[in-house]
Order: sequence, then C-alpha cells, then structure tokens
Amino acid sequence: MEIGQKLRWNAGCLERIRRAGVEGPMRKKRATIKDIAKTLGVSHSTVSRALSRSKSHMVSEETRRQVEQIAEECSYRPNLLAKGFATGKTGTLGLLACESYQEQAGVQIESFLRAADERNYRLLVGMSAEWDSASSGIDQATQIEQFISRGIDGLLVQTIGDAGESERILGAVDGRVPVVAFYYPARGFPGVVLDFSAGFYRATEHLVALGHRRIGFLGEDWQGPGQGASRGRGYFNAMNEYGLHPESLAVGRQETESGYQLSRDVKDRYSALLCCSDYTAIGVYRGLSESGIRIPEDVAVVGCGNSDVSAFVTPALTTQSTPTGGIARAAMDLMLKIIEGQEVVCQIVLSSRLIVRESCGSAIMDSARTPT
Amino acid sequence: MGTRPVRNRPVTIKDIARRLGISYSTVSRALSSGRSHLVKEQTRLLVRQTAEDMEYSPNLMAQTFVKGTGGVLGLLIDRIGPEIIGRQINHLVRIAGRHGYQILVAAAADRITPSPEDERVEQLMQLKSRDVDGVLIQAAGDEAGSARGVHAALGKLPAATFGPAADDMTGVSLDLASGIQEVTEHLIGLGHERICFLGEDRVRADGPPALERGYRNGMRKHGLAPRLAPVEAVRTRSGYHLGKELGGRFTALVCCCDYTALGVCRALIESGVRVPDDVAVTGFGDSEVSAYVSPSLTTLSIPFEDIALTAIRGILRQLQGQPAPRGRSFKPHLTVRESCGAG
Repeated sequence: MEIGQKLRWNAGCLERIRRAGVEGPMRKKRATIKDIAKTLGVSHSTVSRALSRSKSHMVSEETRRQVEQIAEECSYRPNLLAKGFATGKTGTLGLLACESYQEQAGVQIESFLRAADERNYRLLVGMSAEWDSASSGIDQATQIEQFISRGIDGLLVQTIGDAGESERILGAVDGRVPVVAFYYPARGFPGVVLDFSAGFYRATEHLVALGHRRIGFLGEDWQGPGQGASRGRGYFNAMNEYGLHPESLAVGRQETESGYQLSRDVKDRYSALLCCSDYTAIGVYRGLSESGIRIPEDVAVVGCGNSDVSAFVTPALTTQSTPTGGIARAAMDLMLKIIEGQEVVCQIVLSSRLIVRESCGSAIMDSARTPT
Repeated sequence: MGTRPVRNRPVTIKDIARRLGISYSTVSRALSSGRSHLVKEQTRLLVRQTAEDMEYSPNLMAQTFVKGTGGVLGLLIDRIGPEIIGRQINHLVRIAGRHGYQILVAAAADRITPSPEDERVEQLMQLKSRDVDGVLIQAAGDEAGSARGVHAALGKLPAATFGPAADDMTGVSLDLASGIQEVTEHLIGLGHERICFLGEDRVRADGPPALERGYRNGMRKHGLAPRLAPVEAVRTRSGYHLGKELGGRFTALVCCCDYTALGVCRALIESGVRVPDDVAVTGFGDSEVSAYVSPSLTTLSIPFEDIALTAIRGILRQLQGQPAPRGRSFKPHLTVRESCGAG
C-alpha cells in the first residue's frame, strides 16, 4: 500500500469514528480501541497499553500522545461492562440505605452520589424496609442478594444499630464483596460511625453550664435496643453526672411535625429542650412561638445535624455538626482502600461538634454575667 | 401544616377481581399475554379496562422472585446538586424498590458543555452497557427536540422522563414555569409591583430556565418589568447575602428554592425589615421545615411521590410488553402560608 493511500484511508476511518463517536443521533456504534488502532495503523494492544494507567510505560511517549489525542477526538470511552469481564471489577458500588420519606434521606443519597462521582464510581442504590415492620418494602437480605447478582465491587450499607444487624448483613453478603457500614457500629466489618453519645453529652453539659436544670430530651429513649438510642444515652449520662432527672419524649417518623406537636404538650415543663435533630428543633420553634413562649429567653433549644437552614432560622439554632458529606466521603475512601487490598482500620469514628448559636441562650447568659 | 405523603397501596389483581365480582384467576388470565384466550373476549376487555382505570401495574417484585433476578433501572440525572433532585431520587429509589428494582445512577457532568446532549447520550450508553432494564431520565430543558439524541440512543429500552420538560418521550412532566407564574401573579394580586426573582445563575444554550420563564411571563402579563438576581450554589447563604442586598429595593422576592428563601428571610429580619409586612418572600419546593419556620413560607409543593410512581409505572408497563402510557403533566401546588402576606 502506498503511503499516501494509507493516509487517505486513515483519514476516512477517522471521519467514520468521529461520526460514530460524536454525533449522538447518528450514532451506530461507539468508538472502540480497534477503531483507534486502525486509524493510527498500530496494533490494538498498543492502544490498550497506551490508554491504561498501569501499562502506559510500555509504549513510547510519542505513541501514547498520539493515541490519547485520537481517543480524545473521537470521544473514546472504555466499555465498562467489557472491562468488568476482564478485570472482575464493575466500577460500581452498592448503596443500601434505609427506606425513608424524609428530606434528610435525599440529602444523604446525594452526598454519596457526589462522593462516588468524585472517585469515578457509579452507585447502585436500593432501600430496605428494615426500619418499618409495617412496610411492604423489600428486606435487607433480598436487596443484598440483588446487589451482588448485578455486579458490585463493594457494598455500603446504612446501619440502624439494632441487635443482630451485623450478623444479618454478614450472613447475606457471605464474603462475596467487601462491606462498609455507615452510621452505627457494626461487628465483623468496617464502618464509619457517628458518635452521637459524646455529642449529646457535651450538648447537655453546655445547657447545664448555662444554668438549666429541667432539660427535656426529644428523641429515642436511651433504653432502646442497640446503638439507635446513642443520642439519648449521651443525654442520660450527662444528666446523671450532674444529678439531674432525665426525661425523654419519643419523636415520630415525621420529625418536624412531631417536634411541633410535642412542644405544645410540654410548654413550660422544661427550661431547655435537647432535640434529636434540627428538623425536630424547627418544629419545636413553631410550637413554642405559637404558645407565646420565647426562644431562648423562656426555653432554650438545641438541635442536631447542622442542616443548611439551621444557621438561618430565627433565632439561629445551636446544634451539633453531623457531617453528612463527611460520612459519605469517609465511607467511600474506606471502601476504595479495601478494594485495593490495603489494610484498613476497622472503624472510623466521626464525632459531632457543638455549634453554639442563638437558640441556647449563651449570648444572654454571657451578657448577664458581664459585670456592670 | 405541611401535607403528608399518602402511602399508596399498589392495586392488585385481587382488587380488580373484587370490583368486578369475578375470581382472581380469571383476572390473572385476562391480563396475561399467554393465557388470555382462556377467558371470553368480553371479560378480557372488561378486565383490561378496569385494570387501566385502577392504575393496576403488575407486582414485578413477585415476578422477580419467580424469575430469580432482581431488576435494575438506570437513572440519568442532569447533575448531582440541588436538594430537589435528592428528594426526587429518594422517592424513585423507594418506589422502584417496592417493585423489586434497584436504581443505577448516572449523572451528566456538572459543567456547561458545548453539547449537554452528547454528555447525556454518553451517560446513557454507559447505563446501557450495564444492562439496565429501563431508564428514568431527568428531562433536560424546555425545548422540544433536545432529546432526539437520547431517543436514538435508547433504542427499544423502556424509558420514562421526569422533570420540567414536556417533550414527546413518554413520561411525567412538571410544569415549573406555570408554578412560578402562579406565585408571581399571586404576589401581583396582593398589590406588589416591584418583584425580584432570585434564580439560579446558570446560563445554558437552551434559553432561560423554566422557573425564570414562568416569572417573566407573570410579570409581562401585568405589564411589569422583570428583575433578576442570581443565586449561587450554596443556597441558604446565597439567599442571606441577596436578602441583605435587595431588602429595601423590592416589595416582594420570588425565590427559586425554599432554602434561598429562608436565607433571605433571616437577612431581612436581621436588617429590621419585616416579613411579610415590608417585604413578601416566596420559595419553591416546600421543604420539610418550611411550614414551621416563622414566618412560615409560602411556596410551591412538588408532588415527588406522584411523579416517581407515574414514571416507574410507565416503565413497568413497557417491561410487560404494553405500550408506553401517554405522558402526564403535574403542576406544582401553590401552598399559601405567612411569608407572602396572604396567609
């Protein structure tokens, strides 16, 4: 073949690839490594090497540059499914969250999607109905089976902290993929855990230091099973420590509405209310203000979660930071390390930080304390 | 206070049988493609009509067990970001899960590309390469024809769109423009003339976003000049800064999301501007807290659950070999509370 002829043929081929790769509606077939190889007149294993991160040193710098340029021009993207067959990896992680109607659940999924996207992973998302026995949703074990049968490199699972949960998850996974738990501690596999009990201990202590004695807790009772009641336990321990009487009021699934209802019932029984979430606290705000009770002058309110709006409600909410994004990133990094075969610590504990704003009345106490 | 989601129990074969007063095996046969010859033509038509009326969709979860594999639906979203899409995803995942499906998410790159359509097509191809059973597609823009490439790439794969656009793909559209127009006209009806729209600062090739267009339409209809202020990514904080800046210059602020509106309210209150007495504020999306803040927020509620149900049912029907149902349009519901001065 004459050189000129070959060049013309190559140009035609490139045009064809460009059409295939770039023009959406006209697309017949995506550009493959073979197309790139034909265009450059090199073997397709050379192209494969040039495009591979770990094997690109096997081809010359010049070749690599050319291959990359053509790949760029024809919008070449690796076929993940085929790649999955070759490497045994799918580039996909399973995210098994708990079924929820709530806004926070959406925020949580979104932060995982973002963290996965940043790390070039796809997420297969499912929800299990473990939380709600009346639900007709699918149970965790079935979901896990479904995840694994569809091909995932690892499973991120939201734990709820009840007894036997770890065993249930481990049994369902049966060692087929690595598992990372998030929220509550799991036995037998790594996880990213939020230490609510320390955070609520500190928040309670803060209210005590401000002179409060009648402090009510709006959230799950501390005697509840497993880790689910860790918020309440932090509060309970602090109240005991200071010789105060702990009292809890159960918050329903609709946390904001529940806070609203409860605050109307409790009215002046407490001088401070420690809430299990910012949502509950904002419901409390409404209930108290409708009853003519001022925050923080009459009742101090503390939330948990440091949600986007907590700094902007009036009064600004004193709360605890629970890094939703931080959990997602930490869980994702932990998972990637395990996939790469690195040694990992079994549990990453993220502790919450008390963020003092207006609703606890610190500012009032400070000015009162200022000697005149 | 805020409306609660109603949990819809899926309609089963038994419900249809009960309504028609026939046995459920007859209903099952009438609906099956392989065994419908076992029932009379008249019965078959009656059952199918009733199933249609009752919005019956087969319990694929149960069928999945029979077949031994669970399904996966791809979800193609424009970008990861606004809390609105997070809330919609939550409902999609939950409802898909009830039918035995998990959701594989692909997000088009979060940047202004020369051709967002190409990016979407590429993401769609990636989903197809993972062998998904169907695809849920967040509608991209407003103009018809933008989805042509996506159409072509889909081939025969069952799909349903959801989102602002009313294009020709089978799916669910949410009429954002008319929602914001309603809010704008509601404020005009309350006597406001200096009304500013706080919208997303994202210029795309396909013209003004639906929300902005709705606002402009509302203002134009009453001969008022539109005024825009761009909202940055961190929305509550951005709303706060805009509130500080705009407070004295307008009598009403129409915000593109509730979080922006809450930031605006805080800034106004701090500056001694009363909401709604001095300045009316409205939001969009009816966040969980919006009914409880003071003043409670006038906003547009989005039927996330209905959208998810309709989109997923559309795909399930196609998977059953039935033709895709016609597109359905939802309108955001104007929820009047205190912040606009009418509640």
